[in-house]
Amino acid sequence: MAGRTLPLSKRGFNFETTMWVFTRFTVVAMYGLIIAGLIGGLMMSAKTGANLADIFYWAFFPNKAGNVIGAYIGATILAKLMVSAFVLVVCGHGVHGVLEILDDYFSAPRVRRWSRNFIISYAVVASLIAMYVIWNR
Amino acid sequence: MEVTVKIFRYNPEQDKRGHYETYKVEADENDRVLDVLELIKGHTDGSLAFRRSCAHGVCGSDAMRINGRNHLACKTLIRDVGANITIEPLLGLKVAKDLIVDMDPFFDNYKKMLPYMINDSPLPADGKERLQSPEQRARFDESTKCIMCAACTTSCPSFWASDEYYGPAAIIAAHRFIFDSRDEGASERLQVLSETDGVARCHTAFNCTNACPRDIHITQAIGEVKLAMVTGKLD
Repeated sequence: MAGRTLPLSKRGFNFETTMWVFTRFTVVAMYGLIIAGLIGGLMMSAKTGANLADIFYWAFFPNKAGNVIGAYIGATILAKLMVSAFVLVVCGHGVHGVLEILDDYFSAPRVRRWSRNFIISYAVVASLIAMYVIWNR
Repeated sequence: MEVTVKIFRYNPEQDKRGHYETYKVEADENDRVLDVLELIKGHTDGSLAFRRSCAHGVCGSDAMRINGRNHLACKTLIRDVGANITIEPLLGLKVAKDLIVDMDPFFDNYKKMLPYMINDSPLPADGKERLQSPEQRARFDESTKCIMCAACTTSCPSFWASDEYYGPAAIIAAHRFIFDSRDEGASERLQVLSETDGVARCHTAFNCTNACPRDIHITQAIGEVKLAMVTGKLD
């Protein structure tokens, strides 16, 4: 018997579903970026002969002046792309989490609309500021 | 053994708010919590109100909070909950009297799932039944076990926050028909479930799965409904 599959227009694929899928993918993306960052950090640390303290310093205080590895790695395009991707993914994931929690407490459609508009606007502005900081230092 | 039972009491005609009353009864460790409640109602305090019907874990009438967790009183033995028992009504629904809650919001949500077979196609050529393979039947076997006791829905933190959320029991009812190969109403149900108060409100806390007296894997079933929305696959 042929499998039953509903077309996209008939399966209730709306904003809620999109956000649900997005949130799942962003978790996977976060783990991917974290692993890629760790591997990259270890590779670069090996190249520059860093000790464990330097690696941790680079991991948690990237781009600090005076830190050889941080200055070397943090200034590269790849590092900036990695950090940008991480910020955007984390921001998108976090925003949906906050929206979900707010929706639990605000059940009136008008209040929900306002809370969503506010949080999404805030996330967009915060992301833009983060991009400015990452790419202009 | 002597059992101390602390029971939530509320009479809307007399009380402004609920309070607890404590009873001491003699019971066997193999007695059920429902037996203890019957004992109290029959011999100590006839004003105590609670729901019960079949008393054998089939009708789902006597779901209540026993020592902080949702159980069916007729399936919970004294030996499993100890000699000090606290019994409260289900959370998230308005208390009508003592251990009886107003189930209207729960059943309103259930009705929104269109919990009946929808199939407008003509009958097969032989004019008899719409056939289904054992594999197709097994696809929704779990969700047919639901007895609508509300233990899952009233253990869900999303439902505590807002009873607008359809809740696990309603989603299970939808699951039972969405994945039934004979049904043609999956699209309508998924449209309803995709609303803001639909499956998006499930935060996979797993309280429902832990509370279910029928051991239905409710969180998994909700996940399957979410996946059906994304992939459109119903088999």
